Amino acid sequence: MLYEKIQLERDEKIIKIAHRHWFIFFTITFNIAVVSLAPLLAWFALSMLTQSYDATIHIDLSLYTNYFVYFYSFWLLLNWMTLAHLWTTHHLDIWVITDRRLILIEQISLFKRQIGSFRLEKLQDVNIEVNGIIATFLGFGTIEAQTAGGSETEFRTKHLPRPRELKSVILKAADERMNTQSDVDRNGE
Amino acid sequence: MIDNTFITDMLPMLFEGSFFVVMLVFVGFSLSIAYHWFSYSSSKSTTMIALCVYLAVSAVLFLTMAITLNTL
Repeated sequence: MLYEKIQLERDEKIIKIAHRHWFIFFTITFNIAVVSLAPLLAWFALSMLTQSYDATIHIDLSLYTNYFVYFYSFWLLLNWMTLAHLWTTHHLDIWVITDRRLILIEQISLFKRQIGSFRLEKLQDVNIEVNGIIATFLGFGTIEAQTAGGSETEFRTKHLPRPRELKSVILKAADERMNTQSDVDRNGE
Repeated sequence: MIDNTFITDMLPMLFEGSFFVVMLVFVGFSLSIAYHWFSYSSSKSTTMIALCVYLAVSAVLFLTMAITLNTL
């Protein structure tokens, strides 16, 4: 699973794992549901047009029902596979906060994946942005972690749930890491 | 010219061909996403549930396609 892939260091502990907010996947699912229903609605509309009293289209649709059922199952399968693909990219976008590092895994597409990490000692600041009514009420937003190395643009993710809580977890972990490092340095001297 | 012969002879053949093409694509795609889910997911139980739902719904759709194909 994931933990073998990111190769945690010895005694490194995972504090929190954050996935994207469920509402984002809900909107994706809703869009796909609408697209999935389109042929069915068209079929019903066509059947109403052909059955009306003053119909101008004279086709016996019952002759083609089997063709439509086959096509529609095919259409649903394609949409189902698209949804599975989108769930993969949604579910595998992860922020992993450990007691030593911040790891950002982004599944851009099925065969494109970016993994970035930095040590908490290098953390300079964590910015959050909650934009819009839905994001405010459901509690999701953008988190951006800035490092001393200047590669801050790589650590920015949209639609993470409870960004304030996540920010405080990251800052607390960074503070504890700094204290541990200071103790180690002091004992070393 | 599209006439009744096209519908009665060609369409079932096209649908049968598409069925096997879709089945091949589906198998390749499913293996690929299952690999991703098992390799990179942080929760084994979520992965198992997702895979069961994905395969169950797909099986129903394939079954519907197969049954309809026999009646064409």
